Amino acid sequence: MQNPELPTPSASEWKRAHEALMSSFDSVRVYYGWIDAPFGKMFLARTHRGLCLASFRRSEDALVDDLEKHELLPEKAGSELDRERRQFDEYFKGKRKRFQLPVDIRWGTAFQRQVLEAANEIRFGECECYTNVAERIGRPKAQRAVGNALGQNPVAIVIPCHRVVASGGGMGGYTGGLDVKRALMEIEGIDPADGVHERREH
Amino acid sequence: MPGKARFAEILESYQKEIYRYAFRMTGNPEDAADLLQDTFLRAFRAFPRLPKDANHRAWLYRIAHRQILNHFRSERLRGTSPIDVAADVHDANGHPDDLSETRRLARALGRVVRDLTPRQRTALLLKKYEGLPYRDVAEILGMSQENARAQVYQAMKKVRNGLKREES
Repeated sequence: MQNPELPTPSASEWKRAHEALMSSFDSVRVYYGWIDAPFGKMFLARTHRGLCLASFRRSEDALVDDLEKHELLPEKAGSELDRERRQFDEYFKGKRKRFQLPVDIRWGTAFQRQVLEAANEIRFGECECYTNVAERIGRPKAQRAVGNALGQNPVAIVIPCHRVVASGGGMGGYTGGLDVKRALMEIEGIDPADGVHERREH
Repeated sequence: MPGKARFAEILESYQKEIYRYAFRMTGNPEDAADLLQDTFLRAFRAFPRLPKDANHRAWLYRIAHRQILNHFRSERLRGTSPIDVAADVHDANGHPDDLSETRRLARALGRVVRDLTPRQRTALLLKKYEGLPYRDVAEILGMSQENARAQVYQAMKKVRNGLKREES
């Protein structure tokens, strides 16, 4: 015998429940997508707080894994990343010197955030050595830790860790690869071979 | 789909049936909506620790079942009526002539189901209405398959007797 029908939610009840469920995930939802940078594909992701990821050379799977590990709910972006895409595009064309985007870097340690905030003060077209950054945050002997913290920068380019170079005028390291660092420096007209520019006080 | 399942896909795939299950267990669309949210938010937090080969459907029902039992417990403590399954039935595909009979039967069934214990009700809904295998029903209820079969058997017996009483 077929089971007699039990009460079933109406379409409007389901719609309300679905919308409430979706909005309950707003605080953990993260939109991700990519842009074509001059040096290849670049992934972007943003939460309701701001841009939380701008990184190079990763697979979509690895990216989504990382986002899920941070207890976020990744969703492929449609127009949600339009502002970010536009600003990156302008930067790559040399038409933008400063990003105007909120960033969400809550996952780093207090030290990492301090280093990133210091790196964020280096202006377009300028560069600074690891020692200077270490001194500026009051940890003059922590150049190596500064380098590591910059290597963990989740929002490359927007926080310009590519503007931090070695003391002797060398490139220093870069998580995205030295060819990417070189390309970014070319966009900004930075030539570390000319020597490290001391950060100007503004 | 490459790699393991993504939570967004699980959310998309199962939200409607979990809502229907919560609705049929509670008989109340607002409570069911709350339970749907509680279930998926708990699932979301637990998801990173879930084994890759986990049965997502059974896992979600297990969480939903626990939430619903907690809901009944708090309703009992508040002294309010635990369920009212005799809500209206919405049969979009039904012919007008059948609708009143369908509705009447659903209401009668709702009253009968209301008298089942939560375990019997869960076993009945999962097995007979959602089509889960006994293995999953047993896992969700935290009992042996024999015990799950017994719950369904008892539930069906009560429903049959109850419907006979409703008819007379």
